[in-house]
Amino acid sequence: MNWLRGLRLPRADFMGTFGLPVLERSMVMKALGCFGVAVLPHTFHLTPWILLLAGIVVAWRVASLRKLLRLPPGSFFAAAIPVLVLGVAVTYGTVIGRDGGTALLVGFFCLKMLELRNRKDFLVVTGVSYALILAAVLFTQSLPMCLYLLFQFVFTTSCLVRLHGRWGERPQRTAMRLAGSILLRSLPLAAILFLFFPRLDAQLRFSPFDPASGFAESMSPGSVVGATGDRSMAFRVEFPDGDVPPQEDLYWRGVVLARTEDGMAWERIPQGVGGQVPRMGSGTDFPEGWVRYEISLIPSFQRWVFALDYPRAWPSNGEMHVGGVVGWPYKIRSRLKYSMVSQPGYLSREMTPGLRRRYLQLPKDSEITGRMRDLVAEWRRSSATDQQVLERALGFFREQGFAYSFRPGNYRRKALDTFLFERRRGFCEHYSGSLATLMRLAGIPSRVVLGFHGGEINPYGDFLLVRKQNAHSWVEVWLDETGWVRVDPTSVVAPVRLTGGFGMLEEWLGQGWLIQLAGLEFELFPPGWLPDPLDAGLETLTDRIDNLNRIWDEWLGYDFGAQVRLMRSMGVEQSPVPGLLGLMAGAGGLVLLFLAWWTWRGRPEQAPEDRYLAILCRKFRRHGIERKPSEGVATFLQRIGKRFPEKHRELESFSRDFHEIKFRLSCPDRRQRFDRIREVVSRL
Amino acid sequence: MSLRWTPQFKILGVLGLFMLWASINYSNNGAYFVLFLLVSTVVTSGFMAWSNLKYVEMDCDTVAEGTAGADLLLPVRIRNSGRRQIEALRMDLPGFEILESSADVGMVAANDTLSQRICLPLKVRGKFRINELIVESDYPLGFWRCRKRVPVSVEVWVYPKPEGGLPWPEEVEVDDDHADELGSHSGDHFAGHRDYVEGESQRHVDWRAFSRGKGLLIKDYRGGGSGCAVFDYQHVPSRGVEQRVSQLAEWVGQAFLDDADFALALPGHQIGPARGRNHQRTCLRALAEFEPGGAKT
Repeated sequence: MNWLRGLRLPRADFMGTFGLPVLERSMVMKALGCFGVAVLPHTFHLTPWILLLAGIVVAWRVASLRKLLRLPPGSFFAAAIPVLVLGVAVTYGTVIGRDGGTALLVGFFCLKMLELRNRKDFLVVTGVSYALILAAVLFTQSLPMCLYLLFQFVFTTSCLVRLHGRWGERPQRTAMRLAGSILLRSLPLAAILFLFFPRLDAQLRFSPFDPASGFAESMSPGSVVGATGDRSMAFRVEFPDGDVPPQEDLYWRGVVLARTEDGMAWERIPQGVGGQVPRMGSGTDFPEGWVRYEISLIPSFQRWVFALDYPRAWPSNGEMHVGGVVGWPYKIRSRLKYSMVSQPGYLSREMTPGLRRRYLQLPKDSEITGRMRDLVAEWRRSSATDQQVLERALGFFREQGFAYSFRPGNYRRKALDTFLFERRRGFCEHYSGSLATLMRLAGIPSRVVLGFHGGEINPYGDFLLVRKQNAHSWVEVWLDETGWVRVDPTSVVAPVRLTGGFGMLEEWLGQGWLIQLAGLEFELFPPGWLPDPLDAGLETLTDRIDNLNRIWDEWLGYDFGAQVRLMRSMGVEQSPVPGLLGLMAGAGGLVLLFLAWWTWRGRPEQAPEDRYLAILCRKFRRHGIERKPSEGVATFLQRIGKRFPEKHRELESFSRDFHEIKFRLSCPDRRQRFDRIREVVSRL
Repeated sequence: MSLRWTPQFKILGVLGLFMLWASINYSNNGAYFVLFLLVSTVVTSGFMAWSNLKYVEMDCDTVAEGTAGADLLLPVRIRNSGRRQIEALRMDLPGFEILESSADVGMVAANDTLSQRICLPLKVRGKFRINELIVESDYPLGFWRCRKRVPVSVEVWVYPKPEGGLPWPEEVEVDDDHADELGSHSGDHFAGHRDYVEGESQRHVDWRAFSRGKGLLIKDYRGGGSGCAVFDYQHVPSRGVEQRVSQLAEWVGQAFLDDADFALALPGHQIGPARGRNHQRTCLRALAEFEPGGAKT
């Protein structure tokens, strides 16, 4: 009975809250690992204070394991939770939706790690880790990220295996292997659900909690250049006819901004349908010089799409809005692929008295200084036409010491005046915003266009990749003789921006990649940091990865239309939703039946070592030696050895190898031992 | 065998609904895939939980004895006749409370047999029956609990707790027929102790007295008659039923240790006189089942 008393005594030590066993140290370490692996993919978008909290939690937890610090009491959490919710609400403006919700989830995860004591807490940790995998794919679905998340899935599952298998001392790789095998067994069913679960999202249109990080519909100094460190994809363009326009013509039109308060910050005026650009059906022949292309757009969370300047034909569910903006019937929350036709150099003649008033609206009087008025008045006096005024303005930017800079500093009071006459440092927002304002001062209608410029041709996939760092803004000016003319003042100041794309601009400015981490900006890889051959190799590698991402995106672009096509190709002619549900139930049922058969099928074959033992027993039965039912293998072999002393050595070797294979949890030289057993049995 | 989902499964179900909502709301194929992978993992783990217990076999002894107030250790043999080791096994006995730590079996290696002693804290006397052993596991992920029931037939005798400080009852003479049954004794009436003489048989050494540090003493029996103690329920000074039964169990235990002849008289019937382990067991079982009104448990 003493051994039982021994079990009872430590009860007070190992039983924690609610009478559940306190987690062992190794499981706390696993939970910390789970926490680190789950939070890592979110470091790129989380606000710094949440990341700081995560760092503090890890340090605190490790210190508590080393008995340097005590874990906080219950009252700490009662105070911390409201502070956390308030902090997230203030930082993100909401506590729900993708951005705020993820931040709140990570915050709660941090607090839970401090509260982690028993198995129930550990289960919460794994549940949150699974939820954070899903949250991560809402931010990016790039191939490397998806591979990482797959690893996170396996790691989290392995932690569950450890918890429920009570695997105290067994190595983590064993748990990972088992978790990987569970994943592999789960893949067929997951694939069937993925293929046939009807994607009704566009039709359902749930009330959205859309993230704030979609494409902007307004511009202020810093809003466009803020994306310079973001090398992620904005959209990908394929040209089926193979005609890629020259780099300087690659203006990807997004949204048109017409209203400004200070001349620097611009915003969109909601504009109705009614653009006067003639719409053309797709699939027809187009005049020479027109460009046909397909765009794969990441979720933009806007109701308009990008088009090469100037769109002339668009998909049937799109519609042309005032200002040459191609509108979309719903918010784009998933990847979208659409075909367009554009006519580079086309000049729109969309103008009405109402539009003229709108495009001549000036900033507040307080923002317009005397110097500005004098400057514009001087241009107007010395010019006979609007065209000449425009040329004077561009000449002003070209000749008066203006420079392109990623870090021009903040413009606060009288921003436009300070920019034009004092500091003269800025990037595309400064130049486009100021030129449009100056034109309006001169009585010429103007507007700012927000979109992208340029792109990188990928030689391996024959597509053009437009990254977020290609974000750009330019100006359109109304000239009575010609219509709306595109003017890019940035190209006057930094011509390389127009011809060489963003990469060349970085080099020209002597600046490396700017990356944003936790809201802070870091410069990586200054130009020339790699020797030329390596640089070329890196470029090739990047291109290949981009191409892989393209193929990956084709998979991710699987939508309701693709589902219906797949269904039809399988000969199902029913209406889509019942048809898909039927296929899902049928194929899923088959997989489940297979799994059931696999589980319930008869007793597995004899283990190989037992098979060899059976052969050995059969051989000696011929000599009249029978193994008794209760006789152990070692005893049996010894008995044979006494009868046949000349075989003693082989029998001993067989016995040793047999027991090693059968009873050792990990037998590294298993294969060699099997070879020996096979040899001994054949010799005997 | 049966498979049931656990509370963890239900919680994950709620999480899954949130995930579905997020996938639909953001039309995100990656999110759909994560959700479906999680669903499939949960489903697959159910099959794995089943196959974990597929090759478990169990058996145990048909009779178990213990004393109320103490713990009974019930040895159960668990055999794994499969080729894979069985993980995270836990025993359960329906209708019995099991000491948590003894219910945890853990792992059974492939083609191996394990002997697990299940600890049952016994509270009341009586005769009980275990009709099935249950082995269960929520391995590998805890979303499903697989249970395997193995029919057994185990009699569990819980004897009354022996306690009470009443003096030994007066011995009575028994007739010759009974004297024959009792076997040989130089004298049948316990008359006291005398010192042990070296070379003498140890049969009548009072080991209980020895354990109390009184040295080696011989129990001296005198008189040629066949006297024995009769432990009569009716003659135990009036107290509660359980105290009386406990007192009787204490006397039965003492008599067995003293190798004395005794009889147990319960309302309506008498057992003995006799001596020895079998007689003691018969008396204790009668006491375990005893009900003042005559009903037996």
